[in-house]
Amino acid sequence: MKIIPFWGCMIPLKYPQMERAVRICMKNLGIELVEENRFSCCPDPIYFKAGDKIKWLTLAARNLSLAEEQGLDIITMCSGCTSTLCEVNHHLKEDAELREQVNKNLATIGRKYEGKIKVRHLVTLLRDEVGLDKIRETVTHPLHDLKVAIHYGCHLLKPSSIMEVEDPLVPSILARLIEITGATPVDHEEYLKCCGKACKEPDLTLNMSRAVFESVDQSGADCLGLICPTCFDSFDVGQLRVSRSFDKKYNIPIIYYFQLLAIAQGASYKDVGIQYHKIMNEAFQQKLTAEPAIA
Amino acid sequence: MDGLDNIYKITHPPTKQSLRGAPFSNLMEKGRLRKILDNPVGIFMTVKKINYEFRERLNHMLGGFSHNFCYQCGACVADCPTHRFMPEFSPRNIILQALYGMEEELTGPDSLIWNCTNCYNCYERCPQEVNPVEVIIALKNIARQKGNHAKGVDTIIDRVSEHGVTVLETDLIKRRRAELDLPEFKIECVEEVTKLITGEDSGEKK
Repeated sequence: MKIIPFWGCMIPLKYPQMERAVRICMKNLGIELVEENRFSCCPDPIYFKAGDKIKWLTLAARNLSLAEEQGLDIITMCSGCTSTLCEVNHHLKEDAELREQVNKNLATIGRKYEGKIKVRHLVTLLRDEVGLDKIRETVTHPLHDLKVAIHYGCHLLKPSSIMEVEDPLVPSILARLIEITGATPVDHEEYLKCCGKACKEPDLTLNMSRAVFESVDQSGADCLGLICPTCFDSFDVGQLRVSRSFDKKYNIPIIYYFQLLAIAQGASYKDVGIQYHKIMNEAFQQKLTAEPAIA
Repeated sequence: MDGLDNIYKITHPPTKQSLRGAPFSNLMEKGRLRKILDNPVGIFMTVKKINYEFRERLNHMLGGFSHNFCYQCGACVADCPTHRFMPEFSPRNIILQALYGMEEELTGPDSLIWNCTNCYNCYERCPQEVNPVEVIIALKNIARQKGNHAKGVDTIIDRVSEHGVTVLETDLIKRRRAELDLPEFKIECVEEVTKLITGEDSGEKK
């Protein structure tokens, strides 16, 4: 299978360990990544879209047109990129008038959006195209001792009429993918909540993240697993801010799903850059050093 | 994992039919739009003076027109994470203010709209396809035209215009990428991006 990875900004330029993890997983799954160096920022579905929605549509359409040129579908590894590219692709496919307007802008740089390709978050591709059984075959070091609390984030699932992943009220995709690594997915009260990153008032972000930490704390999980670098930002470095603001020390290691999968496929803790994370504890670290499964 | 078993049972893949329709295309259908604009008074007669000029402006922003469909049920409020921690922020209230055309409250420098966290819960919940979050984004676009936007907006747009990305590569990250055996990060054809951002266009749907 050949596919174009849309790395975005946060993953390669803030959390490159996530890029590393995805590359390891894709190699183990036999998926060929076809790079596209002309991609720009998706652009950002919060601030850029709030500034000028037409330009937001235009830049996203340019990115989509680059993949169309190669005739390959896009995978995204960040929920923000997923939100922008899926939404724009959807609107431009459905609304001919809007498409014409955007294409008029794109014509100034000699490009055209045609609506020929699909955009999906990598987890959706894994579930729907690669198949869970195929992934299970690549797991050589199952993480049996590990309990992972799930955080879905907002933009993988919503709006459901555009994302078409599954019902955002009772999602199961991450639980199923975590189970494959041998780890146990753990339910907790706030697993569908927002990390709060986009609010202007910093207090709101802190309160929203804290609600998630409290819920994970009570669940007895070893760590919090997620699929979005923005949520990761709120929960990893953000956890220090929350601990300071509410005078309660939280210690919940955060892990990006593909780091977990890569480790279960035999990669080491260091291969996937866990040493760069701000929040860490020894118990979690030990559970990540998995033994190979007995054949 | 009892809970998980339940999740499996309830979940079923969505079909095209089970999902609601596209947000813009169906709402922007010409006949329907005209009809409502010609007859906009309805239940708002008893309210003080409505600023129709502002509503007209909102109607022409992408995603702004659907505010007309709100019947103030409040489904959007219950699930709003910002409302949970900031009770004065309410999507229902924002849409009501839009229906009154309360320009200053919505797009002035003290507007609460910038605290929307863009979670799309209201989009999911709304029985009228108002898509409150999209109306809020349309209001943000108007606020920016008036210069009343959050600072982050300009920072992000300028950065994308100049560098193509929103995060700039630091020496630390360069080092980490090398440690992780990753290829050097590069981005080509930034001039195309600059041209699209600095070129003429407005945020309004023609």
